[in-house]
Amino acid sequence: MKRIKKLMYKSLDAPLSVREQQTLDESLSKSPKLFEDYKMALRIRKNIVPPKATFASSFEFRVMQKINSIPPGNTSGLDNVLPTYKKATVIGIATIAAILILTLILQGSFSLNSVTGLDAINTDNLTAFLAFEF
Amino acid sequence: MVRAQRENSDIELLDMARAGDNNAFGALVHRHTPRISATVIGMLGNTAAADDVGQEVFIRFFRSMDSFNGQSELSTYLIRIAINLSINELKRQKRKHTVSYDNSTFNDPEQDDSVNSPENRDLKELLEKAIQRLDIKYRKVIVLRLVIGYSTKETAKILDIPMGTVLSRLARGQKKLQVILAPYVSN
Repeated sequence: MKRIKKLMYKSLDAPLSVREQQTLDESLSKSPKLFEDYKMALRIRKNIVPPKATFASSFEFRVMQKINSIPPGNTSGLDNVLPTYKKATVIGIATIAAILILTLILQGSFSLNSVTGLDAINTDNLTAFLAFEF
Repeated sequence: MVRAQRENSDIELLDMARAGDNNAFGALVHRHTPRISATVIGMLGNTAAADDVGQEVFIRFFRSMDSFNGQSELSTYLIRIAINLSINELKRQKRKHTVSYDNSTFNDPEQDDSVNSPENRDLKELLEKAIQRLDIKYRKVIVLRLVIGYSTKETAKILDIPMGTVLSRLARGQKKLQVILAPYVSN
């Protein structure tokens, strides 16, 4: 029955193959419950209409009031992108700044080696690390 | 002047708006408000939030009109913005537990008597409210396909999902509508 129900709904939105149509027709003729569901589905579709309610009559005026208050030249694609990534950008910059400040405090240097921790690696440290781990 | 501008195509009005002619943009707003209104109210109900979202559709488009490349119809582009902003609003309401259902009454549509029977008038109102109770993924296909009247293919294109998914969600959405309406409507 589930497969037939799917077929029934599909018939309302897409063409069925000859075999699918035959299957549906047979099932509709044999099952009063399915036929009632089909009639109800048709009735629902017939009565789904665009909402009678619309935006208030002042809607367009209010939209244009806001549009006219936007400074000229403020219509680039970037304006649309920036708000989306603003939060991530701010957090990212704050994180990088925190890492740099921490490195300066702990290592006394902004060098790439300091930031990446390569300063701490030398032959003795590496040997000790390997010996300890293995 | 406004009447002459209304006869211009969307692209012509858009070019004028990009050049700084806000009256041209106003003509676009006037032209596309009915469909945006039907979409947003279909998704959110006749609520204050729908009005806010409707305004935001055009403001967002105004701010990003330089990046509209004309690959799709302008109406399709605006509908896509409307659907996305409506979904954002629904999610926001859900997070704040402030989901609002439209409890207003609606005017009767002017149709022939066979459709305008008391039972069908009630059914139309019930359907509008029942759609508000659908999950977002079913609601958007029902609104685009059945409320606004886009084809299944157009609905798939607007939502950027496969046609099979549209058909499957339409089927489930309609089934859910029948379940919601069952206590109120008899065949």
